[in-house]
Amino acid sequence: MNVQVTEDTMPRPRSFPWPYAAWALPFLLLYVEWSWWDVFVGELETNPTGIPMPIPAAAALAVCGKLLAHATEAAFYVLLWRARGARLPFWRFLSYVVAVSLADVFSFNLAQPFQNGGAPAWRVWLAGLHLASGTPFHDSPALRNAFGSIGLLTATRIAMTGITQAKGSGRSRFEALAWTVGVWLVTRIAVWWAFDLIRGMSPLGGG
Amino acid sequence: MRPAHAPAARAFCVAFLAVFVLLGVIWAMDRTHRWATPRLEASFVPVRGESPRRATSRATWLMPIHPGCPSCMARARALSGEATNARIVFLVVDRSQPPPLLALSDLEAATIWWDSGGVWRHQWGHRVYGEILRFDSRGRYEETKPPDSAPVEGGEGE
Repeated sequence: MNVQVTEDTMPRPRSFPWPYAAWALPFLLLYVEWSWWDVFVGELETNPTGIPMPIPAAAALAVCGKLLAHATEAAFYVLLWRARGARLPFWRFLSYVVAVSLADVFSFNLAQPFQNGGAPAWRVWLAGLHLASGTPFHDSPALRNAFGSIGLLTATRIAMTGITQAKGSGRSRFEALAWTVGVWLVTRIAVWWAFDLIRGMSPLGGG
Repeated sequence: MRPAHAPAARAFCVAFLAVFVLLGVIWAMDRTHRWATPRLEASFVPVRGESPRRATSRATWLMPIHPGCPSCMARARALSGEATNARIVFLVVDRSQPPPLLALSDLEAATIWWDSGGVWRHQWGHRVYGEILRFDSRGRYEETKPPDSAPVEGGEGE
């Protein structure tokens, strides 16, 4: 028997609540975006790019880009689960992706004062191995950008993203986590390759 | 039993994987390509100052620039003010037409060449404006300094 299953008849997860009460959600999202804006202002002040616009405006533009990246990530996982026959509500999942990105904000803020090295071990473990001295991340900016963020906060964000997908799609945590780690690995490798392609034989500093 | 949207979603996932594989192939080809070692090409077109054909007894620092890049032009202005024994040459790259002299007017007392043949990008495989390629006094390539390093030893960032 050939039964066509539409989105309406797709198996719905048992319960997939919003991360916060509806009234608190806009405030949470605003807080997260403001935190990202603050991170970008700090980054642009430390590493001027020569972009001919005021730093706050450039940071606001970067926040829009970040939001777009979050939406792309959420849409990607929605499609991934749809391909696997499960439904993941986009807006609800997006709100989780945005909220969980606070782990990255925290990581950036921990790393910011130690861009030139000398970070204590607890910051390295939390904010990423790019802070540790004597690692391959210092010799290769491409590797640093791709995998330098590996740390407990990144692991937490990946785990939260996976667990949220398990909850939203009704699939097992193992399956959701495996897909999330796999996708993370693929995107980080793509970042590594893209960085190498952008620079060609030119060396990049910043180590 | 698969949902009606599953084929489209599966096609998207396959396309994603295909793009990833394609990126990997391009990356592998780029990394294994045998790029030429940089040298002071006679084919560079002199825009201002010394000709590339003229011999020099000094080391040469060659900085690729593009008039449309504000940050690398700022770095070029900073370099042209540095006190160094090396001959500083700015190489205008990625332009099919000769560079507008007005855009280069604030690079005082500097030699400027135009890479009309795209040697820097297509033969040497370099892609970042504002880096400094160093050649010794015999014109032999020594090293390339990244754009965020201090041009003169002992300066900030070294």
